[in-house]
Amino acid sequence: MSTATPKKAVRQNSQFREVTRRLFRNKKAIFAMIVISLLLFMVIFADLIVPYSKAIDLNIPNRLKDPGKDFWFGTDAQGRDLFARIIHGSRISLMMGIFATLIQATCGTILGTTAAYLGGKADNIIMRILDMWMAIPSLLITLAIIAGLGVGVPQMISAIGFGGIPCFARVLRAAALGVVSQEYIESARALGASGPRIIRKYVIPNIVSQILIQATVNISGTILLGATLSFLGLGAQPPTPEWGAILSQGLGDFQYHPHLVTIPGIFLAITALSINILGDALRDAFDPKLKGKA
Amino acid sequence: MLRFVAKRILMIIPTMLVVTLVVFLLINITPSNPGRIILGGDATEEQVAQLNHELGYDLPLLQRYGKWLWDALHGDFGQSYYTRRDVFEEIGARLPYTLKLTLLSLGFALLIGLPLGVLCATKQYSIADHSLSTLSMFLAAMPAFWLGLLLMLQFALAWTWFPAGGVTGGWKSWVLPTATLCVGYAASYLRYTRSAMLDNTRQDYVRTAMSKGCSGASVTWKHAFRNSLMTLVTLTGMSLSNLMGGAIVIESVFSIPGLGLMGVTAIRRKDVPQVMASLVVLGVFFMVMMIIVDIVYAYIDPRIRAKYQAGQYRNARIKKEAAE
Repeated sequence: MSTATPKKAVRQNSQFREVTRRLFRNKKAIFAMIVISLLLFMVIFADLIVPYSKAIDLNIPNRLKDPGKDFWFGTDAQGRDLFARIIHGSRISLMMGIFATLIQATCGTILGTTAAYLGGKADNIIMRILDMWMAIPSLLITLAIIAGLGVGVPQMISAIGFGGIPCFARVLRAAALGVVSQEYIESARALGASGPRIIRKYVIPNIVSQILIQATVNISGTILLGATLSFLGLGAQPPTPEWGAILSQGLGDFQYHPHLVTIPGIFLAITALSINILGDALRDAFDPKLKGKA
Repeated sequence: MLRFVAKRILMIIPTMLVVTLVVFLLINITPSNPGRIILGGDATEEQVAQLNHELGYDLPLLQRYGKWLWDALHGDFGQSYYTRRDVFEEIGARLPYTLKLTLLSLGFALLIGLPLGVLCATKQYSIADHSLSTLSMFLAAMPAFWLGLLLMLQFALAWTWFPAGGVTGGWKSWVLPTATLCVGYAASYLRYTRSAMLDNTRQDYVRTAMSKGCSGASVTWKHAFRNSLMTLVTLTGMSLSNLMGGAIVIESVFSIPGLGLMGVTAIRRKDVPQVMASLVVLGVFFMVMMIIVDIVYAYIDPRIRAKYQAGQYRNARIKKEAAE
């Protein structure tokens, strides 16, 4: 009797609790989550840490100071405090990644699950359209949309979001295909549930782990892509602080003041790295069988 | 097999039609004024209107697309609004730089990534495996343009081993751009090779081969690696398009006068003929690559070759493989 009780308790654990338990056992994941929490803290309380005006207002007497006591990260060619610009830049960089991924995840999930659920001709049509979409490098699609909408942060978010839909849809269709052939889908259909209801209530909850993993991995890619576009002058426009834009503005003086390029880059890389680690850890936590394979 | 290839080649036509139409519509979501762009601020309204009329820019959108398509089918992709040069001529002059950068990087990425991936898989959990896996994770998280700038800072500006940009320095001017572009891909090939190899070494046929007395190297290369090749070929095909995208960025960093640099400038200036032409070239290039990937599939996997010959379910099979 006494040995049976803990067994029962384990079985009662929901999948969510199991996953969080495994996640918190993973040391790398804890490191990643600490870094991400710090970044989120920066995003939320940016105005309390350092006022926005410090990141924007010109201050010529202080131009091109190297990192030191007064300016932790130094100043740029306009004398703006790089620390303030990095802190406020985190808002745009991270939001860009999150919103663009939201667009991709929403549209991709709808397209992928619909294609998998309907099957046959509808599946074929949706997949052929996605194939065509994918025939063009996604960066090029993104660039074309930016060419149409003009440069700016909202335009860039929609462009990145739009360009990444097919990739998302493909992965989730593959995941949903495994679900739609299950018996509980058939019985739901037999009970008279409508297609949209089955997708919403049965298909999506069963692939939520894949959506979560894919979205997490995706965020780091979109943050890097957004920074790249801003670096090319197609995203955030000066004087808006955004990590990629800060980097490209530092190009003029980076030979003698390398901090202009190294510091924003380090922030970008650490952000992307910790999100990638979290993505890997999530996959391991959801499916321990895959552990150590990729 | 021949029929399959012919069908795939024919599929390029409708795909390109749709893609060009969509991109044409996208670029024209907001109005632009090519006449004003070409003639500059000094021209009168009449001159601008006259030129816009000559370019066919006063026609409705779909008619304009029709006109572009008709000219394109006759080999005339128009002139750049800015440089006034024939866009195809310009692309022809720039394409070699982009191709060189892309293919060099792909080659080095494969040369570095595959053997190291196999090494990591055969010596799983060794020091080499741990350090290489960690390193590849760091490299995958680095934005390529940043890595390029760091390399430039150290090797071109501080040590002056290599030129900081341009293509006038002979082979030396290709070292830094290629290194920048290939490092990220080498890292991802390493990760994928490692995971594909680990998948395969757990299969029964590997144990069978072992128990037959095959040497470790023979099992690794002839059995596990050969079966991992499928995943890797798919990946190589897919990453080609990303490499082209990556080339756009690297060309900007190292000011290489390739297609990417031209594309970014054209998009910033809304130079419609140039954008459309570069899109067509890149799109066709990419689709031809995907067809080659499918043929290579059949070449390396007899199971798929048999499927082609049977002529059944081939698309379904390939699509499934690609999705996995």
